[in-house]
Amino acid sequence: MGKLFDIALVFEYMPAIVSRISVTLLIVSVSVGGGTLLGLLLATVRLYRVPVLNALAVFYISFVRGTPVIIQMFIVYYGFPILLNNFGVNINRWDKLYFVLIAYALNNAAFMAEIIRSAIASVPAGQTEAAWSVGLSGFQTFRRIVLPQAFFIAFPAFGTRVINAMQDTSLAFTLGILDMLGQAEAIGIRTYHVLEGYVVVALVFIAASLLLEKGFAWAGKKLLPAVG
Amino acid sequence: MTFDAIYIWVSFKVAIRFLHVTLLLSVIPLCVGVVLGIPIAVVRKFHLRVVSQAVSALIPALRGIPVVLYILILNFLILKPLDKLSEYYDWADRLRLMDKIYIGIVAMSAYAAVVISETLRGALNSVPDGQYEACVSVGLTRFQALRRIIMPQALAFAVPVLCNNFIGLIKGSSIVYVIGILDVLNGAMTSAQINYRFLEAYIAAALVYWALCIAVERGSWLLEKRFKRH
Repeated sequence: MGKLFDIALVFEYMPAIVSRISVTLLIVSVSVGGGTLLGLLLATVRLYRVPVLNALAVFYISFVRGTPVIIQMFIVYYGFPILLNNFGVNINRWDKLYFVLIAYALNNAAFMAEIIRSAIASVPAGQTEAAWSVGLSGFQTFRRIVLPQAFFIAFPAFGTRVINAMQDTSLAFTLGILDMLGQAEAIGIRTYHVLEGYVVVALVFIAASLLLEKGFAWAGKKLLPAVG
Repeated sequence: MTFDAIYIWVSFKVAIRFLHVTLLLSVIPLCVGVVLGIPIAVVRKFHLRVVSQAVSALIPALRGIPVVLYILILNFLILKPLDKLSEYYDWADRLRLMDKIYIGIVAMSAYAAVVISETLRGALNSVPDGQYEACVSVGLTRFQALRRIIMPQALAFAVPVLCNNFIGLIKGSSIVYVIGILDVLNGAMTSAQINYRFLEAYIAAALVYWALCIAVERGSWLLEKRFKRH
C-alpha cells in the first residue's frame, strides 16, 4: 500500500489514461451532433405546435431535463433491447458503447431543442413583420432574418451545453466503458493506486473545459457581425 | 426479459423511502454553496488583492471537474486516512458501518460552492455600475451598500439561476451511486437485486427525480413572481 499519493505515478499513468480521451471525444461529438439534429426536429415540432407530437415533445424534454443522465443511460441500456425485441430485432450482442452513444444523443436532443426553440422565440416579432413588409416570403424571412439572429442568441448556450455534455460523459464508466475514468479504475484495481488516476482524469477535464470555453468565446467574437 | 409496469410500482415504493437521503445530499450542499459562494463572489467582484487572483484562477479550473470526480476523490481522501487510523486503533467494524452520506454531503457541497459562486458573481455583475456609484455618492460604506442596495437586486436575478443549480444538485446527487450511498437511485436498485427488474427500477427512480425537479421548477416560478413585484 505505501503512500496515499505518489506524484511519480501520476506521470506514469498519464499516457494510458490520456489516450482514452478518444472515447470521451467520440461520445461528445456523436452525441452533440446527433442531439443537435434531433433537437432541431423537436424544436420544429414545438414551434409549429404540431398536434399530439407537441405534447409528446414537451413530455420528453421535461423528462430528460428532470432526471439524472446516469439513469437515462441505464434505461437505454436495459430498455432498448426489450423495445427492439418487440420488432423482432435482437441487439443483445451490441457493444455497450452504442447504448452510451444513443443515451447521450437522446439526452442532448432535449437540451438542444430548448436552446434552439428559445433562441428562435426570442427574435423580436417586429423583425419578422419588417421582413414581410419588404416582401420576403415566409421561408426567406426565416432563413435570412430570423435564423441568423437566433444563431447568435443560441451560440453561448450551445457552448455551455457542449462543455456540460463532455462532463456528463464521465459517467459512462459506470456501464463498464473503458474511457479515461474506466482506465483509472482499471489501473486502481491492478495497482491499488487509484487517486493518482483520478488526478490525471481531473487535470484532463480541467484542460478540456478551459480550452472549449476559450474556443467558444473566441468563436463567438469572430462570428459576431460588427455591431454598431 | 420482458417489461412489466407493476414492478415500477414495487421499486417506487422502495425508492421513495430514501427520498430524505437525496434531499440531504442536495439541500445541505445548496445552503453551503450559498454561504461559501457569497464571499467568493464578493472577493472577485471587488478585486481584493491576491485573494481575488487566487480565487479567479481556481474557480474556472474547479468548474471543469465533473461531479463524479469530486465524489470519487473525496471518498478516497476521507476514507483512506481513516483506514490507516482504524488499522492502528482497530476500528475496522465501526468504519465499515460508518454511513458514507457524510462523504457525499462534503463532496456535493464542494461542487455546489464552485457552481453557486459563479451564479452569484453573475448576479452581482447584473446590477448596473450606476447603483454602486450611487451608493458611494451618498456615503454608504462598502458593506452597507452590499447589504442594502446591491444584494437585494442581485438576489432577484440569482433566484431562478439558483433554482436551476438546485435542480442540478438533485440530479447530480444520484451519482453517489458510485460510492454506494443508499439514496433514491440506490434504494430503487436494492429491489432490483431481488427481482432482477432493473429497467423498472431505473424508471421508478427516474420518476422520483422527475417529480422533485418539477416541484423545484414550480417553486422557482412562484418565487420569481414574488420578486418581480418590486
